[in-house]
Amino acid sequence: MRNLFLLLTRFKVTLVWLALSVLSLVISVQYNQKNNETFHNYASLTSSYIEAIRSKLMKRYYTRQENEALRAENLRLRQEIMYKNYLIRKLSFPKLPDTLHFNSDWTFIPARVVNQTIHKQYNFITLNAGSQDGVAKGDGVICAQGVVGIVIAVNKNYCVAASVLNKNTKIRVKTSVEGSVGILEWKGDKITTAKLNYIPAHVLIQPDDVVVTSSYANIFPDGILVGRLVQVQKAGINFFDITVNLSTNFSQLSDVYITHHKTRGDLEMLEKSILPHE
Amino acid sequence: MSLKDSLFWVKYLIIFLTQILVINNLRINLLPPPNLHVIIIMLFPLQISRTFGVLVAFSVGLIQDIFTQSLGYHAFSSCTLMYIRYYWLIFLLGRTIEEDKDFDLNQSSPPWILSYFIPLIIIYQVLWFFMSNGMNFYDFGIKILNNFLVIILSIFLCFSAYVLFFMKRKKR
Repeated sequence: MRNLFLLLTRFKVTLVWLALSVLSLVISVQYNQKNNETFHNYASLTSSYIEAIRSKLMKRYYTRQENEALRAENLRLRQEIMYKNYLIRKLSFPKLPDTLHFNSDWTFIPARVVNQTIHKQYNFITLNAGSQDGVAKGDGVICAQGVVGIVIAVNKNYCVAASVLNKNTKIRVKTSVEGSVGILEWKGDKITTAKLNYIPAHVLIQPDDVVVTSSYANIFPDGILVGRLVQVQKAGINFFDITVNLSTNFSQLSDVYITHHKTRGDLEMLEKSILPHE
Repeated sequence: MSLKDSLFWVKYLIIFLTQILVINNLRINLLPPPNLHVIIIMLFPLQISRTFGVLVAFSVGLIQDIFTQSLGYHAFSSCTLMYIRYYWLIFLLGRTIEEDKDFDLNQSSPPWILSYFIPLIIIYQVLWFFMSNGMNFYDFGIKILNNFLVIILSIFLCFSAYVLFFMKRKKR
């Protein structure tokens, strides 16, 4: 209190001058039309500036909330699509489907990208979901735009996925028109394109056809968008040399879903068991 | 209050009345009247407290405003002038007023007092133009050039009043 008093005493001339200046400005604004207009212009400019900053801050806050809500809704819709697919599949058989105890094979685990690279030959993506969230090695990673990668390492809280932009990543995909299955590989050049191999030369395909995931290895559910064909050439007698324009924008990756298949372990075990017989 | 002090305040009153009753009624080419009353602020005794000085300057400005129907313009300019006068004196003298208690503005030579007056009068007029221009700087340079005569007249009147009424000639 004493310090405040000393401070006020020290600056009393300045304070008196400021008070009187403000008083004279108030008087001039009050009694002069021109000054009144200027004051109101300044006031409205200042308030609109403050309002712009406030709305910017609020928008940032609400966008985050909205994102969370949209993620939840996406998750629900994906589960719903799975349920619809299940019904369609079961209805094609004479036995009636069990609609009471529906249990999809696929689980979608929402995650956020914590770290990623796109400039290397072998790119990886770190996600903030781990084994305690239900993530397992070999799960697929997708985003709203399409396929992202495959989980290769998991710990309790995090997992690392080999991105599609990794020369070691091989994803089974199929063309949407004929359903021919091939393998998508990245050659390490442009981050927007990849190569689609092992599509037989007799298949009818043309540029702009859509490429989607195949559920063969139970890494990705069927029909997740991968990209579009941009260049189709014959490579030798048996196969096409196809370039695919990837639908995922890897430079802006933020929210993803990890696709986990409940019985993939059984499938892998079964497939491994026949290896000695090959 | 001594006779000398009373005479001093009477001089102030005469200057102020001259401003209000005579100079304010002079209109040259529809220009605003020159400001002689600024001399009251510029020559305000340095021995009197600055806070009181700012209050006196505000009052002088406000009365001038009432007579020129421009409420707030002169009050703002006057109290601001009284506030910055202290720093302008420090700049000119190279020391604070508190360090030089014998310094008397009325004993200053005409060239020195001109160098003291001119910037302060220009600042006063600029502040006044700013207020009368609707508190903005739109076309400010042109308006100051148009009213250049007012600045010249104010300097002339203040300097004349100083030489006639306030300047103390040194005894031989």
